[in-house]
Amino acid sequence: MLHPDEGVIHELLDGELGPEDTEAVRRHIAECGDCLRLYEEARELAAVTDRVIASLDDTRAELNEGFDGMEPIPAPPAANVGAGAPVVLMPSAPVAPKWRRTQPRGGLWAAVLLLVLGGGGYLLLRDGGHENAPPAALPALAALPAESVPPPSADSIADAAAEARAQAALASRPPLGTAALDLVRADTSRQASRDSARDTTRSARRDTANARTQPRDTAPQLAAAARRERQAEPAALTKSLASNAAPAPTLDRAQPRADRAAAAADRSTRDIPAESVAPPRVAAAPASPPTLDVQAQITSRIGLDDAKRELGTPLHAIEGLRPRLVGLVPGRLVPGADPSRNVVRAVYLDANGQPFYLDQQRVGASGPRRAGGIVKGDVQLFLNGNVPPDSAQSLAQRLR
Amino acid sequence: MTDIAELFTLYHASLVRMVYRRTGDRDRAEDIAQETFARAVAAPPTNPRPWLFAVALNLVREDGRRSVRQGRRLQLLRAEGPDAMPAPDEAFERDEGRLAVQRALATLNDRDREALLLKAEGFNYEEIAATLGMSRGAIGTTLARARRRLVDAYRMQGRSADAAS
Repeated sequence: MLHPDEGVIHELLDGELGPEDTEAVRRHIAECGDCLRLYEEARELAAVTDRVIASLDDTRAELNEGFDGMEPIPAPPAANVGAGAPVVLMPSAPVAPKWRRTQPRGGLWAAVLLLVLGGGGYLLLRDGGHENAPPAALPALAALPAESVPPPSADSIADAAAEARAQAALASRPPLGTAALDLVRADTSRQASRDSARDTTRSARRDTANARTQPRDTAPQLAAAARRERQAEPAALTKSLASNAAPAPTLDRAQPRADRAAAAADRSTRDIPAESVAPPRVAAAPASPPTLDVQAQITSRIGLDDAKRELGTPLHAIEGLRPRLVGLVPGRLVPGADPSRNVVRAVYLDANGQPFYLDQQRVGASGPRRAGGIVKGDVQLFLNGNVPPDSAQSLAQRLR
Repeated sequence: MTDIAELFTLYHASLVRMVYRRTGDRDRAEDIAQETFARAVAAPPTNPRPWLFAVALNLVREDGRRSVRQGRRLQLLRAEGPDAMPAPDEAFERDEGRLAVQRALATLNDRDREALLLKAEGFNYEEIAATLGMSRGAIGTTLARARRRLVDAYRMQGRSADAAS
């Protein structure tokens, strides 16, 4: 036989060749190293393509309603697939409220702080210049050297904002016991602190990028970038309060300062010590029941066409019952079976809502067999899961 | 005559998903699917699946008919308001990966891209050929080329991003 071209190899992979051609091409590939390499490469291309295209889908639950006519597809539990009971990685109690996701976070709190400090500084300066001011009045902020005022760090600003947010979150929660309250407070505070530091980093990076790409005469944008930069860099904020008359920033000034702001925000993110992030307390959060995919150890759902391609024949099913989902599971159903042929699992639910599985794998007409299963053509089938022995026989008789 | 309700049940979700993957715009995908089924009501197809997807892809290529664009604008107006907007950071992170795939897909020509998207919807070669107006024998070669180009473009982007960072 001549070497099959790449299109024929993809046809073979997609199950689109007739039985005779399939056999001939397979035999050739088994004997020809070049074609075997081409075949392996094509398999990888097809697998990567499927994965890449599937990643285009929006995994938000509300957008998956109705897909495949089944229940909404949850976010893929990649780390948990096939690993038995699911691992809850995050406590579900402190859910971020909607306003926190729709409003600017760190920037808002920094702006409030700026207003408070700015107003106070202005009052102090005004009082300091008044004739009737008592001699023992507080020293004016402007009269002190900038270094003598301990600048608030980015962390302290983030912590203050986080604490305020934690208080707000606690106020909106039902009363808890003292211990639980402390746990929730610490959790919310840590989470908010990380969120705030991350937000500061991102916004400073964007400002930096914007400052670099703006033309020189876009003063309003530069002024806005400089304002945000001052919020991200507390030392610069204190100095600007002391001078109380900062000129409009230019591109030449804004660029290095924005760089410093990004660096400072980066430091503030890095400086959160790893040990301060407590491991998630699995017991504190009510574990959500595993999805049917996880229970059934399905690595990827497939459609009937894909099942047909894997099995070389339409999916076998139990007459009168509707599979809840069909997918691939790892491993081999029959020792010695072709490892390139995946095990297809049709998942059913019994009257009590317990899943049981009709597993099937193509083993070929003269391929290996395993006792206890059912053979239909080239496919060997097994009923797995919680199937009572008396039901197994009647279900087996209804296999189509 | 084909029962339009049955067609809708069978193919609507798949059609919306394919158009969404093609355009990256959920509202537009819904509108185009709606327009496609409206046309199926007016002229019931005999071979519905390839027909529906061919009509939808034509609408995508035409960048939507006027009615679709109007509908889209209305949707956008209705969606205005703070609740409809995801947080910028959230949207940025979620969209980054999808944009990389969209950019890789954009390097393919229309025919290759659509063949891939139809294959991902479970179409067999006959159906892909019928939908795209190609010969059945050309589908294997088309898919082979399209898969290779997509993966190359996608990996190239990954390398560019690594080099930039």
